Amino acid sequence: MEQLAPHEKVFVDPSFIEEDKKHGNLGCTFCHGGDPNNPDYETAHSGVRKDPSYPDASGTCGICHTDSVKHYETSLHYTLEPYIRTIKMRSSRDNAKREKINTAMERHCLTCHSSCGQCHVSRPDPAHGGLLESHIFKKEPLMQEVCTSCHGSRVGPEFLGMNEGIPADIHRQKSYFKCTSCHSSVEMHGDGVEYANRYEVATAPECESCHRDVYTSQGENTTQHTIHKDKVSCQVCHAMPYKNCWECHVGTDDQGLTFFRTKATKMDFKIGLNPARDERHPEKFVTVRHIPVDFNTFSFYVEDGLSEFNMLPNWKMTTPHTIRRETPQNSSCDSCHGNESIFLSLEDVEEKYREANKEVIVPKELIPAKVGK
Amino acid sequence: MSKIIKDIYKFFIISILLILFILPVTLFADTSQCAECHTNPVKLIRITREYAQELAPLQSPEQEGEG
Repeated sequence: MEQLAPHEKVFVDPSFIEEDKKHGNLGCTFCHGGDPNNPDYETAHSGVRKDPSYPDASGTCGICHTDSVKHYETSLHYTLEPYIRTIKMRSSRDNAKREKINTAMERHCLTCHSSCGQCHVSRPDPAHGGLLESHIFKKEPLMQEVCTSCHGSRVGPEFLGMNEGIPADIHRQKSYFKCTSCHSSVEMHGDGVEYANRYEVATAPECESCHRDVYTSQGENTTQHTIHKDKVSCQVCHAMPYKNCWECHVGTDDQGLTFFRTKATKMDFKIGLNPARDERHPEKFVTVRHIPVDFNTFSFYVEDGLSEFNMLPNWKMTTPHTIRRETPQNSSCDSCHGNESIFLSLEDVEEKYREANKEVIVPKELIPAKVGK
Repeated sequence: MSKIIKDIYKFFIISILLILFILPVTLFADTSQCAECHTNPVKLIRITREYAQELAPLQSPEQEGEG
């Protein structure tokens, strides 16, 4: 996505002030502070809060939008708990090393938060910010300026069909879905529970919320759906290949500016074992994606910082946004059954990462046998 | 006589209410420097150009790959 010009980032549409009776009437300083009577822009902006909703929205948005803001601090967009928790689990138990990892995390990973303002008023900071529509409040965040401006390496291009040879997700192509068609405001705003990851979130989308009849006699292809229920996730049959990333290494250059380097990405489709089967995700087989973290992600800051790397797999359970009714693996029974190439095998995983992925690698004997159809 | 007093009293109360209603809106409405600059693209282009020259780059040129 193209960045906004500097003046576009801060241009305020006069109609916002004149016509938005709720927000425009409040006046700039009510939310942003600063000195409105000072003609010198440098001193006038002293103390200005660029994003008045972060880190605490209770004194601004929360005054009226009490329900949305009440649990905002438990939203994964705010807590970034999955990053924190998984890196912590992989980190050395040595406190000095952990401190250095924390510093690196603060600089490189934890800047990717969002807030009320950075979804409803401006583009998020990690996407270089700038007002969405000249400060006009957007009740529903704009998908490509907000959601996929951050989720723009994997999920966004997958959903929109921007990866060569892979069509857009059928929900997008056929029904012109947006992120908000499935991801509710409660899921985004938090519900008061501090979840470890998005799969735990009670209000996370589920295919069956819309596809209610897949296991009933009224549904299409009920036999296949019933046979495979709780054995494979929906994505195992209905996802097209998706993006996998390798070796994200972070550091700072001579001027102290942060950078990351990742290896080339690869479109692939792999079925792995579900490492955390539970009531909501009882399936034995799930799609897995290679994630960018590796042993040396933080080596610029500390050697051997992720010494407990093997605590978690780096082929991670995933829900790709490349859904199609017909896919190569569901074109016939034996497109999947006995097709070793689509199951995550020992050979797919570098030797040094096999221990970390032992719970998701599919042993050959667990690959369903060919059925001859 | 009492009707006139009542009318004056009514007028007085309505005036006070109107003032109370309008005053906060007027006080908070920044028709000041904020709006004067931020709604004026010509001014903003000039100021942001000046400001951009003082800013350090945000991203290292050493960045590679997809995040």
